[in-house]
Formats: sequence, structure tokens, C-alpha cells
Amino acid sequence: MAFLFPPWSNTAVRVALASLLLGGASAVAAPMIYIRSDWSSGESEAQVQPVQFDHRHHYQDDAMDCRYCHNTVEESATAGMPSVGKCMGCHGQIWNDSPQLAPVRESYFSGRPIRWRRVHNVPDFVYFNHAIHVNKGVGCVTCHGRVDQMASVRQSAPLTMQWCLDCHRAPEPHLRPLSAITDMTWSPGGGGDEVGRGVAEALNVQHLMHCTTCHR
Amino acid sequence: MKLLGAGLALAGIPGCNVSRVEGILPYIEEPREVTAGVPRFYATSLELDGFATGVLVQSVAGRPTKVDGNPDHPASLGASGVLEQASVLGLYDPSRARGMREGKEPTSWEAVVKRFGGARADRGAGLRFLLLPQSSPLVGDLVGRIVARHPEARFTFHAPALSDAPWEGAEMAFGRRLSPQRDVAAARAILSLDADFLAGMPFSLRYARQFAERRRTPSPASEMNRLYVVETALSPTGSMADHRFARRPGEVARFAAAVVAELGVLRAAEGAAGAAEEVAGGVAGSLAGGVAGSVPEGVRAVLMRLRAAEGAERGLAQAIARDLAAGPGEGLVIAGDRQRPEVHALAHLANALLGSRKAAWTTESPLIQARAAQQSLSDLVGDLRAGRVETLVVIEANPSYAGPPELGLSEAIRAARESIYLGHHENETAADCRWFVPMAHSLESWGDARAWDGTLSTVQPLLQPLFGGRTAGELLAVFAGEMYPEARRLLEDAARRRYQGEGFGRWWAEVLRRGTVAGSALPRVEAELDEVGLVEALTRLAVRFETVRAARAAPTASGDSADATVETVTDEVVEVAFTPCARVHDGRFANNAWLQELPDPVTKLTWDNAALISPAMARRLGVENEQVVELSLGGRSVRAPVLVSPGHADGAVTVHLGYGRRGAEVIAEGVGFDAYPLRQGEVAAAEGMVIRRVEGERHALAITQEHWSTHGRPIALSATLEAYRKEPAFTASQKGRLPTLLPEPRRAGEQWAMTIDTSICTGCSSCVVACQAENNVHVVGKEQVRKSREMHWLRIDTYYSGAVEAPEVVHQPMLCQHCEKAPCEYVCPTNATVHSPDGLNEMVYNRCVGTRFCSNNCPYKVRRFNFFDYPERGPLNDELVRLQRNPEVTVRERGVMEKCTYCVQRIRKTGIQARVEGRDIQPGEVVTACQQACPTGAIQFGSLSHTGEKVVTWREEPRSYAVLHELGTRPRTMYLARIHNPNPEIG
Repeated sequence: MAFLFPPWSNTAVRVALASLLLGGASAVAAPMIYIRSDWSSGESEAQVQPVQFDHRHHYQDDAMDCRYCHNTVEESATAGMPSVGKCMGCHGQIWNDSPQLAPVRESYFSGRPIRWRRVHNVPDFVYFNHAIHVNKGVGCVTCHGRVDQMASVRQSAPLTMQWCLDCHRAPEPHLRPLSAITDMTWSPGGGGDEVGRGVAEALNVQHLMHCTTCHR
Repeated sequence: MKLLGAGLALAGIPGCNVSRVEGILPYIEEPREVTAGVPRFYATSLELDGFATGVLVQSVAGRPTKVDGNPDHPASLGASGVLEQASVLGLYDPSRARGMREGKEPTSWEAVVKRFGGARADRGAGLRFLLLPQSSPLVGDLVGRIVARHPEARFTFHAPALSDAPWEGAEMAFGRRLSPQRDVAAARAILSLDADFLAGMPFSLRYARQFAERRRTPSPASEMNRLYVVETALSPTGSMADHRFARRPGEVARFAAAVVAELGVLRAAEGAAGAAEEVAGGVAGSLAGGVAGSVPEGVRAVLMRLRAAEGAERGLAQAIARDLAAGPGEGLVIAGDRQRPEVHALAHLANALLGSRKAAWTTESPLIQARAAQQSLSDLVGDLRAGRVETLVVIEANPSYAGPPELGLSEAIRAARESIYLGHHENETAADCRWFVPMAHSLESWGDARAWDGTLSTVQPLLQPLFGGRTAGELLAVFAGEMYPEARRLLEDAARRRYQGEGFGRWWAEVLRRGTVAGSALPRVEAELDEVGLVEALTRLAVRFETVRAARAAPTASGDSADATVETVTDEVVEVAFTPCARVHDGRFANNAWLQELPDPVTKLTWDNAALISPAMARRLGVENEQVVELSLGGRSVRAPVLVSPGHADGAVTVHLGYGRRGAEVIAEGVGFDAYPLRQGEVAAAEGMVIRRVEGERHALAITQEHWSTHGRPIALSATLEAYRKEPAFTASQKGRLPTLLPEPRRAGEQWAMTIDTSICTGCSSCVVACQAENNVHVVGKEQVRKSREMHWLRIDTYYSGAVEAPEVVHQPMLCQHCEKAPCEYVCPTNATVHSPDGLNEMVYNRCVGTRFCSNNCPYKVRRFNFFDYPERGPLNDELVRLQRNPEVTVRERGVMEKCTYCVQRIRKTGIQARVEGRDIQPGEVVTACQQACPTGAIQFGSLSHTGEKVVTWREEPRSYAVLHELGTRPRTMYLARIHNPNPEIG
């Protein structure tokens, strides 16, 4: 009696079994990898803004403090976006005919706000508060990265819960003196974690890990 | 500028869903007072039937999101009622009218001004105005200006739920239409004659606070006030009574007469004794009317006649009268709106006899009168029918729905040659009017109003009208000849004219900031009892009693209901009481989903009204809940489902007004039955109604609490004051340590806890709405409520004990108890409910997968599950309503469990604020939404580490206890047992 299956069927079954296993494994692994990747977190993805605002120029060349525009960062949950009027405060005088600033002028005179595209976005069930972080020694650069070197702002941290918790469990290495909050280039120098520990002690920084710290 | 933000928010709504990337829309020019992300509060007032209640409204980025009481306002004292809390949802009502029209064609405000603003050849003879009662000085001014311009124009003020009886009663007693004023805190013994003064009257919030001041017993040794209530259906006030007497509406007058007659006897005796002793000065029994020591002779005579006519309850009346008169000047009698003017006159007489000058006095009425230009509703209808009305202006009132049925207002309005309606909705009256102008909501308006005591209160807008609404002032100004009326300018001009002295601008800014004009309450009027009027009124009453008595004595009594007596099993002749609903009032709030879903404070009925009857009558008629009956009166009949109501007077039916709406309001459509057709004139009660069982017809009712007994379990504890003094530790078995194998919870820093005193909880339910507003609690609709899927985080359980005819009541606000050893936490498979170090039972929505194990394991049944994506289902939580959402609280989606969080968003916000400022959270700094709203202050919240706070001191009282203590859950919410103070003379 002839063999029912040709000789290559062994290979075929092996390949089929292997791909089934691999497929199963990747069906589990792929979403896990995706959720940890930049694609999911939106990290490093620069948004095309309606106005080509350049943080490099404003921070480095003009030496403006972050808080000149994001002026509610020390007292409110939100850091605040500058009003168009604030832009025009300077750009009514300088570069007041630049075509790049046309949308700003149009917004100012028409009364229709500019629709900026949000770069740093946490889910709606997360209640992040800028004021408490800034007042407890977490600098802008710690979460937002070197905005002073970005032509257009992109997210430089994953903003995942794990990333949040890493710092909430042990904030000391990430803390700096309040005088250096907006400094993009500050470093603890040789002090290492010592500086952070000192700040934590001075400002009575807590390790908050219960759920309602962020979720309400 | 602050209005710009609202525009931005509105513009942002449709845009948010366009892509994954959210937009950020900054201001054009940042308003100086605004800090992005920090809510602002504005003082304004809400007016109901002419009387203002001061509120503070929270504004988030230009959106009003929450209304709370204004602590500086005498009608609020920081508390708020159900209607105030729900008013913010009324702003975002999806059925609000969105455009002006003439006939069916859209029109413009300019066209309205052009059509109605011109001069009139007829001196205004064909011009008629129909408004709700008004106390606004601005409206008063404008009425004056209109009368000056059109001398023959006429004004009618009408609200179906505002009775004229208090003023008519004052006219009988004093010969003048004065408003009764009360200080409930000054009274030790109070008799309420069908008056729901703790929840259902203008100034109720204030009365409730004052009542609670003398009600609470911090220790067994403390004194407490005593409350007697005579009423038909159980009300929040009745549920607080130490002695409650269920009487048919018509019998209340007899009861009142009996008590007042006994008071007269007491005073006469004292007067005689005083005269004999010739005691000079300090006469305890001095009359408010200045008649010292004795009762006017004529009044005494008629009181004796009343006493003779009303003999049945003399022993009871004597006991009550003695108690009222016991503390000199500390007795108070309050008559309710539903009662006829004679009862109000009796109350005035009683307060005068009691010498309660601190507890009861009178002022002029704050309602504006148009004097000669004022017209009664029936005269207006006469003019309309006779074709004498050229132009009819209806403002906010809804006479086509709520007007007296025999007047036929709907047809009459159609008979006007030209009619214009200013209202919030395209309702019944709008359909009868040719022109329609949408009305600005209170939170969109500039205006003013007076509180019950006359305090001037300002109304300022939180945002520009969403749908181009206009205020009553603006429409009236058109008739006063203004081409471009603007509410803010009208108000400021009127205020400037009245203001004397320098610096108007600064004064006005301060007035707007506070919401009231300090010291503007109307002065006390030292009115003297008008003997003639009083004797006349009481004689009428006596004659009526005597006639009734004679008819009863005759053997052929009840002959008029011969048809009814043949078949007593299917129908019965009864009295009927028409009551404005605690939730939708006279029907104007019927489109408010929060109010429709709010369980009635007493019956716990939602999304319906019903015929409330006593258990005995239900047995006689052979009906039970949901069985439909036919109510017939004066040739008109309606069908209504029965709701058997413990403590209801036998032989009477109570129906709530305000349902069965026929307008274009989506949410109100098909809810309940319309009881107005039964009502003749403005009567609040009538005799001779026939209630007949309709075989086989049922109407499903959605009731949130179906059983009313604790079955002897120690859940809602109560005791009499006497028993409490004998045995202060009667709740000892329900608190203290229980043996446990589990480790002790760590206690450091703030430890949040709540204490609720059931002694002063009236069940009014404003906490329930406040919680809903603060925490984005969804509305689910009648069908879901019937499946027990309502979402309220806070409910009020009402327990009855004793006889079903005269039950003792305990209201128990029930919310997450934040157990230290929470049963829900052990069973959650995903750790979605866990404990925080500061003692909160946390609920993490984004972890919840909806197994509902926690709910199953919760002995208090306070967890709520989202069975559907409620925001996606119909108009109840949709569209505009989103603008009300509190941005500090997650909006929960389908498949997620939720429950009371102790307003964790407020705790965290305060905590962050304190830590930013480098300090600890101060005692009293965190206030939960329910605590803030509570009129009596029955709910106290705070940290156990703040030992001076009420939340801690109250739990140390002997009568504190934990519900289901024996389970060892160690709840952080503790209750104080209700203490009654019955009169030992009354059995």
C-alpha cells in the first residue's frame, strides 16, 4: 500500500506547527511590544503646528524663561498656553510682517483662536497637576526633554503609567532646586543623588503611589 | 472676556473628535482674573415664584458647572436646595428653545422691537401682560415706565404653585397684606399647620438651618425643640415631627382652631391672674399687636365659639397649646400655603397670643404690585374672550398648561389678536402664542430680585445666552419704549437711580461680588391685630364648622354620595390635596433629567407622579401600588396610578402637580399625569372627589426603595430624648472594637471620615443632586430605574417604624462607607478597588473590568454599575449636558463600577494647594458636595486628625453608631441616632 501522504508533508506539518506557535506567541507579544513602543506612546513624533513656533529661538536666542508664556505652571494643574495677545505683545513690534506669523495676526484680529495640536497628552482618567510637580522640584526638562533644542516640539518621554510610577516610587534622582526648575542644562554635577535627596527633604517630597493620586 | 472662554469651549466640542490629536485653544487676550485650570465663583441669585435664593456658581473656562449656596445670602446661608442644585442642568437643557419666531417663520429681535416697541393709539387699552410673581425692583421700575407710557395697560402676576393665602390671611389678621417672617431658632415648640417649612417653602433653607440649631442634642443633657405637624401627606417636615397628625386638608383648619382656642383660654386665665396680681412690666403674655396681657373681647368670644364647635380633640389641643405657651415667647405656629387664609389668620393670632415676637413677625411683601394697573387672571381671561386684548405678553408663566382649567386659558390666549411669549421652552403656552422669544436662563441674565425677607439680591450672568435668549427686563423695556434694551445697562441704570451718595461704581462692584445688598431686608412692621377682620374671618370658620357638625349629626349624613356608598369597594368620595412637586415644582422643571430621576424625598418615586393614598384606603378600594384609579372632580376626571403612602391621612388623596406635560420638551414628554384639570381656580385642596378603581389597568412606577422596615435590625436607630437620658449608651453595641485577625490599618496624616446626624436629616435630597452635579453621575431613565440600575452615589434610605398610619421616620443618607476593612476590596480580581493611606476606599475606573464581585460583596449596596454607555443613549446625558461635566472627575463608561469617593477630587485639590503652599490641610478646608449642599448641616466631613472638627466631636457623642457594625467592616462613615422629643402629656 502506497503512503497516503507524500514525503514533504512532514515538513509541511512542522512548518504549520511552528507558524502556529510563532503566530500565537506573536499575537500575544506584538500588542505588548506595541504598547511599549514609540508608536503607541506617540513619543518622538513631532506635530505639525499651525504656526511654526520655534522653542530653540525663543529659549536660546531670546533667553526667555518657560514661565513667560506658560505662566500658570506654578499655580494651576495646567501650565497654560499663551494668549495670542501675548504673542502680539512682541510680534506687533518685531517681525510684524513675517508671513510665518500671518496665522497669529489673523487670529488676533479675527478673534478666532489658533488651534494648536496637543503634543503631551495623558488619558482623560489621569489628572496630572503641573503646580505640585514644579513646586516640589521636578524640572520642565525632566518630563518634556530638551525643548530648547527642538525645532518643533515632540514628546520625549513615554508618559506611560510605568514611567510615572518609576519616579513616584523614587523621585530623588529626578529632583532639582526650585531655582533651576526651568533650566534646560542644569545637572547635579558631582553630587549625584545627594542633591535630589536634599531637595526632597527640604520640600517634604512624598512618595505617592495610591491610585487617587492621579485617577479620580 | 470671561464669556469668550465659553465660546471657546463650545467651539472645541465638535472639534475634539476630528482626530486623535487634541486641540489647545488659547485665549485671544487673557482675562486678568482668570487662571487657566482654576475655577472661578460668581455670586448670583435664582428666583422661584418671585423669591430669590443667593447662590455661588462655579465657572470652569467659562462654563457654569455647579451651583451652591451663597453663605452671605439670608435665604441660603451657604446651603442649597434640590432646585438650586439642578438649575445648572436647566441651562444645558437640550430642549431649550433656540430661536425667535413669528407664527412658524423665524424672526429677529429687531423685528420684535419694531413690532411691539412703537407708540400705541389706544393708550395701552389693548395691552396685557401675564408674568410670574416678581420681586425684582428692576421689573417694578419697568412696569412703572410701561404704565406711564401706556396708562391703560394691565398686568397679571400668576404662579400656580404660589398661594395667595398667606397674604389674604394677613389681611384678615392685620388688615394689611403682610408677609409672615419667622426665626425658627427662636422657637422651642413649633406647630406646623400643613406647612412644609423645612423643605417646601420660600426661605426653607434658612428655616431648616435654624431648626437644626435647636434640634441637635450634643449630649443627653441638652435641650431640644419640639415639632408638631398636622398635614395630609407625609412631607420632609412631617417626617421630622415629634408628633405628627395625619388629617385631611379640610380638617387642618379645625385642628388649628382647636389649638388657638385653647391658647386663648390659657391667655385669658393668665391675663386674669396677672390683673389680679397687678404685676407691672415684664408681662409674659403681651400680644404682638400691642394689646397687652389679654385677648380682645370680640376675638375671645369667637374663639370660645370655635372651641365649642370643635370639641373632638380638646385634650390634644390643650396639651399642644400648653406646650407652645410653656417657654415665654418660644412658641411658633406656621401655616402652610395649601391652607385657606383663615388658617393663616389663626397662625398670626396664635403667634400674637404666644407673644413670640422673636420667632414670628411681619414685613411688607417683597412682591411687586402694579396697583391700579394690576388685574386678576380671571379678569384677564374675560378681556381676552371679549376680544378687548390687542397684544398679550406672556413672560415665563405657562398658563396654557397650569392655568385654572375652567378659565380655558389656552383658547383665551389664542383669542388675543397678537401674542408674544418669552419662555425657556416651546411649551404649551408657546404653542398658543404667535410670537416666541427664547428666554435667557438665570445664569445668562442680568437682573435683581428680593428674597422672602426682602433682601436685595443681584442676578449676574456666567456666560452669554447660549441661544440668544432675552431677559424679562429686556422685553418689558421694549414696551417701555427702548429701542436697544440691554439687560446689564437697564439694571445698572435702575440701581444708579436708586443709589444715594458717592462712589456708585465701587459700591455696585461690591454688591455684584457679594450677590446681595447688605441690610436691605424689609423692616419689621409692628402691625396691630385687626379685631374686626379677625372676628369676621373666625366667625366664618365657626359657622362652617357648625354646619358640618350639624350635617354629621343628622342621620341622613353623606346622602350626597349615595352612589358611592352602594359600591364602597370600587370607589369612594374623598378630599384631594394638590401639591407642587418637590422635584419639578409646578411643572416648569419637568424637562430636567436630574430632577425627574431624583427619588421623591418621601415616596422615593422617580419619573412619575401618582395618587398618594393611605394604606387603609388602599385596602378598602382593593388597590395596590401601580393600580390605576380614576379621579373625578367637578365633571373632569384623570387617571392615575396609586402609590400607597404610609402616614397619609385617610379619606384624602394627594396628587403632585407638574407632570403630564404636553409641550415640546423631550424629557418631560409622557412622564406622569396632568393633575391640573382637576383643580378649580387656585385651590390647593377640594372636597367631593371620587376615586374609582379602574379594573385591570396598571401603570408601572419606578420606585427606588420598596421596603420600608429595618425588620428590627440596628440599621437606623432612634430613641426618645427621655430614653436617651436614661440610657445614653443605647448604641454601644453598634460601635467599638471587634475581634479581628487582620492587621490594624496604619493611621498617619489625614484620615478622612464622615459623620451624619440623622436627627437633623429632613430627607430633602439636595445632597443627592449635589453629588450628581459634582461627580458627573449619569441619568439612566425610568426603565433602568425600574431595574434598580440608578446611578446615584448617595441615596437617602427612609425607614418607617411603628403603626403604618402614623409611622416614625428616620432618613439615612447612605453612601460608600469607606470601610477600613472593606469587603469589596478583597474580592476584586483586578485590584480596581483598593485602600489609600488616608483612609479612602478608592475606585480605579481604568482597572475595572466589570465583574461586579465588589457590588455583590458590599453589605451597604452603594456601588453602582454602568450597564450601558449612558452618554450615548438619548438626550439624558448627551450633547449640551456635557458642558456641565466636572472636569475634575472621570466620566465613566460602560462596564465600569463606580461609587462615592468622598469627593476625592476636592481632597486632592486641597491637598495639592496646601502642599504647594508648604502647609498642612486645615480643619474644615475640604468640604464634600453633599455636606456643602445640606440645609441643616447634617453631613460633616473631615479628617480624624482634626479633633476639634464636628466630624470628630460628633462621633464621640454617645448616640453615634456604625451601620452593620457587627460585620467588622469598620466603616469610616458614622451615624448619630435620631432623637425624638415627644410631649409626655400626649400618649
